[in-house]
Amino acid sequence: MKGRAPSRRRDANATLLLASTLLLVNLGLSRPGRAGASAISVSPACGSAQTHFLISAAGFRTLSPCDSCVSTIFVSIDNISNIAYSVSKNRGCLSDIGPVDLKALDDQCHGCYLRPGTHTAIAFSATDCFNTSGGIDNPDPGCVQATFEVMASLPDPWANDVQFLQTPDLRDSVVVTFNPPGSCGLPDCSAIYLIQTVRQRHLLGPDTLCTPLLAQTYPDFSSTDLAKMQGSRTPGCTRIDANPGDVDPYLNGNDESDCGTTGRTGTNPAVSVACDIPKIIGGTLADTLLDEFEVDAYCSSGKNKGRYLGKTFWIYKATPGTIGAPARDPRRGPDLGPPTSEFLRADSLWREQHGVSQARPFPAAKGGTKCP
Amino acid sequence: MSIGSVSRRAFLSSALAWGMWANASCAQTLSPYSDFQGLNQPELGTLQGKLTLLGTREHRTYTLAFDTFGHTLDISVFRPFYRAEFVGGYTMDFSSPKAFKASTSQLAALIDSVSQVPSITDGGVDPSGALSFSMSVVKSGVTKVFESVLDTTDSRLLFGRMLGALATNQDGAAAVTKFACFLGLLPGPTIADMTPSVSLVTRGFRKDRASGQYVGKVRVTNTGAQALSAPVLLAFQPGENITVVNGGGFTCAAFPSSPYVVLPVGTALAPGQHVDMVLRFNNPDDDRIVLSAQRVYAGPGFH
Repeated sequence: MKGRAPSRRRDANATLLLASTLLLVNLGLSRPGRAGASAISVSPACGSAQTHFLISAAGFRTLSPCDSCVSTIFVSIDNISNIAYSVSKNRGCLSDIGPVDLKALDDQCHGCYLRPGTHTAIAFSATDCFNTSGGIDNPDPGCVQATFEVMASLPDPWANDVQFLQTPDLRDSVVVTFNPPGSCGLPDCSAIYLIQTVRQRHLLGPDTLCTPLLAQTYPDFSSTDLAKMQGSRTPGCTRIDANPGDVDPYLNGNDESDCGTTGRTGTNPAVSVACDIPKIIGGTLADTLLDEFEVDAYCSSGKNKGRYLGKTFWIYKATPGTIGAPARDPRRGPDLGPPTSEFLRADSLWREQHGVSQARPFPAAKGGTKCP
Repeated sequence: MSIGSVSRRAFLSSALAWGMWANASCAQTLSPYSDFQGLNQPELGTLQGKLTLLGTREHRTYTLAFDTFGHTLDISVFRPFYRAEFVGGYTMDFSSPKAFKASTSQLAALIDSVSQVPSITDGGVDPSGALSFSMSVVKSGVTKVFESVLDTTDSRLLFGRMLGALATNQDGAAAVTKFACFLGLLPGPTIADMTPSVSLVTRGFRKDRASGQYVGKVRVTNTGAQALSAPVLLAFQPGENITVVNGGGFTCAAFPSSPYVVLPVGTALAPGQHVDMVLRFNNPDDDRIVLSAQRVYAGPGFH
């Protein structure tokens, strides 16, 4: 991925694509179409090698008609390496790209992008259109850039992610803590809540089954309530961990049974803390009852409203006739990346059922400057 | 994080907790309900009670506690009286209990009212009982505790008695109603959904520069043949991080539980009549306000 040609030059892949397109082209003239202001964002603008910097670019000029054109958008870091590109399919114009998770790419090349210092993300759009003479026109390319800062290290918001504290009646309560480091490392957010999903399964011999909801609730929960809970559960047995009547999906929100504090990022950061105390007795239906929890830090207010800031995991196991106990998930640890797809499915179902707009996991491309 | 450090902490915590429970397991003797009848004013001043769900708990719940004005709630006095067979069930007592205050006369009325339900005052454990109803009082310097573990039938009866005794205590009645609703144990029907009998028109919301709030107007017209008896409630979902300023709280008549406003209809909204109401919202992110899941409820019943 390193040492490629400068990003403003046509990428070799794009050239090949264009050459093949020459054989198929319908000759015609293209005129300027939508010409929105191009923009690029790197969010957050400051972080460490553990930060999931998301790069998005949008608003590049498109042409009308565009069926004789091929457009490509490249993203590069520090003008020395193209880290991602997108080529229009079946000829046509592209106006945006992303989000590109720079940390995921950095992991693939073992730390080649997220070195300490100030870096520049550049998005470059090139379009080639075939004219009536059989030649190629190159409408003005677009290019925008934005800088971001990588610090040598930052405190981990999940440093004390899950703790198990015993109550005086011998139950383990679970305390989840997301502690933003300050104005660097996470997107701006004025209210951070913790949303938890639970995947409820029975392990019976070699079989794994969704735990029946009826076995999980206070005996008199109505069939209507059960239907509501069922309606917010994914085929993979996962749902937002909330009571049927809860107003919000947060562990530390405004429902009567919620507990904890609301966090925030910025110059005056605050820790987001939540608690949970399940008490489930293993039934005779299974060898083991296994609840798998994913907790995601969620921004509910501010310019990054709707974004997720990181996730962690824990589990709860119970065997027949015994009260279960919580524990760390031995297979998964915390990170600052996006939620799992199973979490997003459950979250989407809950929001749909509750008339709440869907989360906006990725930042909109906004800002940046024109390339010099 | 260091797994090792967590394990050590958990071990220490466990050892400490075991010591505490070792004492508690020799549970002190519970008192009969009759010890709580005919209390004098100073004794009523020390009375406190709580409701705790002891059963299986997939989700977070909470303990609802009460005492009188001027008294400092301390539900740790119940710990030595916990029943050993429900070990682990009282956990919510240690996690942010919700509480309300009542006058001593309301507490006395509550005790008198509940005294008429022998299946509660027997101080026993109902088969499949899961809701603990406990009270404590200090008499002659001695703390006395009563507990009855109720099944769903008795739980509903208890909630009904409590709501009757707290009829003039708005906060107390609301707290009990909310808790009963949370458990799905309301002692009566919820308010009727009259949405099919009305038309709803919501006008666009604008930002009031003076207050920073978003203001809009809603018109509800009775299109049915029957009058809608007060109270008439309009419930809706305003969107994430958008809160109604002039609302009446959250109604559990709706699913999901929704914020609502009480429409100013007087005693009823006659057929063909309409009522207008200005709605005000806090909307710190300046999002577009769309009131989804609009429902209109009217008449008697829990909300």
